[in-house]
Amino acid sequence: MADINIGKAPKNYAVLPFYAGGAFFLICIALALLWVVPELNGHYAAPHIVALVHMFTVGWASMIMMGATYQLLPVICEHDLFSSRLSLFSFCCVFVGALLLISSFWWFHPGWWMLSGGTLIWIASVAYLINVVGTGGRCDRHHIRKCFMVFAGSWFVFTTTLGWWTALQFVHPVSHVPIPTWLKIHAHVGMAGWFLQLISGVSTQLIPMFLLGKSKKSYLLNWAFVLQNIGLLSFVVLSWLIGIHAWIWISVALVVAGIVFHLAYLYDAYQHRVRKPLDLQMKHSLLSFLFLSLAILSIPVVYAFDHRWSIIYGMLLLMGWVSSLILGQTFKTLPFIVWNDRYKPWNGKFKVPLPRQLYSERRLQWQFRLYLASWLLLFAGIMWRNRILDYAGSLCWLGMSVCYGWNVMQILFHRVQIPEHAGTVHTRSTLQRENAGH
Amino acid sequence: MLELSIQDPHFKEKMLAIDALHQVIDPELFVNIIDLGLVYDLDFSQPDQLVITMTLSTPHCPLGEAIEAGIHHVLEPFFPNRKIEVNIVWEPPWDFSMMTDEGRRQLGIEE
Repeated sequence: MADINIGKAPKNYAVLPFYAGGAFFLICIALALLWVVPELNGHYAAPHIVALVHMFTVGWASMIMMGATYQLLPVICEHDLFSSRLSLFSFCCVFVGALLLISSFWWFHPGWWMLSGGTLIWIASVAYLINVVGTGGRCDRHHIRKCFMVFAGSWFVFTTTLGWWTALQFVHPVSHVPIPTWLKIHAHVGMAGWFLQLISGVSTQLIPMFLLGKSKKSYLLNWAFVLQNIGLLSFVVLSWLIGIHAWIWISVALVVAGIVFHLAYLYDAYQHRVRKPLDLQMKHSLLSFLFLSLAILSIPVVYAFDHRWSIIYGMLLLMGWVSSLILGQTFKTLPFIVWNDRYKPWNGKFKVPLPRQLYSERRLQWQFRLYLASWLLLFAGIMWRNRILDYAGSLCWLGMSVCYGWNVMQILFHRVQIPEHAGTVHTRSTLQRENAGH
Repeated sequence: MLELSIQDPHFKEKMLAIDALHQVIDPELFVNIIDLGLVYDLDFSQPDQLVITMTLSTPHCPLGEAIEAGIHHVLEPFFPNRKIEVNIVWEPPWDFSMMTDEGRRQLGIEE
């Protein structure tokens, strides 16, 4: 009977490699950040900065988000994952693709190197979309979170296609639309299509679940979905037809309104939570949405003032909103996935550790402190053009990455310690001892 | 909600089962399934069977299999002659009001 109702977790190889890959790229980001400190006040389209941005967007954020989707989508759709093998295939493609693409940006080698990296990432995005649609298609009931995830997957394929197309323009310019316009569409579809919609779908499921809070205002999510998609679609069409123009502000306003509805839903769930204290993971998530709000508020400043604000805007989105959410939610998801795999056969046979005991809580505290320190130092360093502060912030980011990577590896390589008495049940009371004796 | 009456002909077995089920933890919430109020009924009416009717805190929870395995592991030594059946239901849907005071205390829920 239980077989019909209880979810079968996806195979470990469908999810865990993404977390390992994400941790690897987070360390790469920290090392690259130290290297590019002298270039932080230069142009954002400089090769090293573009490589760094792709480490964030593809190697780190997309990697973890793909893995998390494969774990979470079956819970949302109440159906098993369409294909675990396809998930592994998408990991191989995105990992190798990210290595090729990032290295081609770093040493600036447009041509087959960049195109082959882009092709692999495109294949990974298509495999991801097939898996998401395949899983969501089996889901009988309409679910706005499922819609968010399916649309996020579609925008993911669209942004990787645009990225590949832009890379092609470097070698064979065949389009009349200038490359900077393609780049802007590619970047905004990635941010407002892929990241925003996936985060909207995932966060509105996970955060109320972890806070033990429920919002009855699901209409807020429906509005968020409609506004975000109409806004982004109009942005793409207008940019393509008439370029980046004053009309674009209408699209921006629609997407921002969609974000406001999404945040309003989360705030309602937060207000109605029954678990009042916030753990470090949830503080990371809270901080993430604060960064998103600051990024939105900074949009007019970015347009009105100098290049420094473009870097700050990028930092708010990538190092702030996306990274903070992942840094927190990793330790709300990964320990459970590994615990489920290692301790499922032993649950009830002996006193098994809790999922949160699979990593070091102290290291997580240091991760949070170093993350905050890094952010403040880098922000101050860029605002006052102070290289010492930039280096100090980058070193804190490196320390934070080491704490994160160490904890992730500790969880991934956790081994079950089976006590000698395993198999005998711990008796709790006299009643049990009497009956066990008989 | 699980109710227990001293007039119940299976009172002793039910007490034993409840005591054993205190050892099965919902790893998502770190609280045992009895204090969470996930167990709705224990049916001893068939001589060779024990049917546990329960729910999960999240539908299609991937940890459901681990919880089900835990139930088998803790009950089988005490009821070796009964086949343990776990019947998962979604009605009534679980909510926080079904938790015991102890469960609420463990979760840090304010009254």
